[in-house]
Amino acid sequence: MAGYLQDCEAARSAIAFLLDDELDAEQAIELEAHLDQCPACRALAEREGQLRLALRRASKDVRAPSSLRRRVHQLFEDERRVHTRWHRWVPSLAAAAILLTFLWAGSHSTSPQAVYEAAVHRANNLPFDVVAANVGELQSFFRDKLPFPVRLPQLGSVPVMRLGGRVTNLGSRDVAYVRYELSDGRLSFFVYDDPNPEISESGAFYRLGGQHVYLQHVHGYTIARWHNSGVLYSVVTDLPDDEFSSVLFH
Amino acid sequence: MSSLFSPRVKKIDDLERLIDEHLDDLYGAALRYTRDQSRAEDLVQDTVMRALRFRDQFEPGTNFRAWIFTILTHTFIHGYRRQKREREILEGVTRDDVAKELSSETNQRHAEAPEQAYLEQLFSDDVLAALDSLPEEFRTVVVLCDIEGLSYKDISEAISSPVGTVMSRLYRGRRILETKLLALAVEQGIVRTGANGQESDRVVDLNRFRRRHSG
Repeated sequence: MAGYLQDCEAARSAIAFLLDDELDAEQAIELEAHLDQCPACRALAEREGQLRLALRRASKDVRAPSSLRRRVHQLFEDERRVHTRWHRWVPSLAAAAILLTFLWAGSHSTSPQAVYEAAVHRANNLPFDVVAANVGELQSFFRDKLPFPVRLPQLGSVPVMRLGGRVTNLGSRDVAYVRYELSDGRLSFFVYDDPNPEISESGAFYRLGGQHVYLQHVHGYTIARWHNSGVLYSVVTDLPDDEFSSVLFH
Repeated sequence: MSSLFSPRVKKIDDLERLIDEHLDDLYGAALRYTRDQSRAEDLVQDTVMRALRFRDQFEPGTNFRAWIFTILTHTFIHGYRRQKREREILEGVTRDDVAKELSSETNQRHAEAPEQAYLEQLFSDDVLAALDSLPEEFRTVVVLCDIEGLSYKDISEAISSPVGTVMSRLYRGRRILETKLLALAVEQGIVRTGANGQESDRVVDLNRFRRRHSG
């Protein structure tokens, strides 16, 4: 094909491609050579070029309005906030759950109290995805979101000020998080599939209200665990022991 | 911003920096697409939202400009353009008219006309108004190629059409634009009519063309 751009007709059809930077180097050199020798084609190329220049010149002073800059900046701020919050919660929630597991195994000596308390505090204050009027409503919220049943206790004789929960993660596991807020304390549940129940079955064993419950006291909090149909219920609370067992295992 | 927290946030920061660099150009193209300032702002905002949502699809180091203008153009084509009939009325010209006007004979005469530097003497606003009057399918490719400098291949992805379609729309769009701008130059006395036979003929042609669409 070498030399075909020396022909005026071929050259003219390729001028746009030259100006649009769509010719390969060899073709470009060949066409430039023709334009150097052919004033008619050169004039045509210049006019084609002028149209592009006129369009660029006319557009170069267009500026995005400051209202748009603000709107766009806000989009990024919102997105960052979502991810910063998410990022902050995940490790602390995992830390809370892992600490609970860890402490449960009986090695409390290695974890500094402040860290533990921060973790428990987080566990007791996670944001809700849903606020429910009663336990039934909350159970049905979890029903289509989790592959295991979440059976929540009705608290005996104590008014629940607020009840809510969310689905969260512990490692790759889906976890139901539920919190009962009472007038004098909180009960925070982590509920998840537990394929190895024997590992978590340590600590002081109690039989409360027909349920086998493992209890442990750490730094002013009570952690309770029990199994029901292969699902682990892990509760952390700041309620005094007698109240805790009376509301939960009545 | 607050990149201390996570790589995810850093990715958002990086995207914001890139969007910021291209915001004037994005708005400029959106203004040509929509021909309305507030719709252009909305279009850019939607484009940025999509870019945020699909940010994982952008590979750092590849052509950001092509990526973001593709999102802008898709967003426009699939959500912002007016209904077809409404567009035709607004644009005052249909594709058939354009095809007729762009007969090879007309082009041939165009090609042989003496080169005149009238384009340099037109006001930017007039040039942009002429561009805005192009039917949408020509306007988008001319904006992407001549103003934003995208390659044929990138434009082909942006408008979801083959490269051949891009080339023919570019060709036709530029010819219509040339015709309009020349008519404008004649109107403004930048190009003198009757200086030679060819120019006069062309002006007559243009006037006939315009009468047909105003009536």
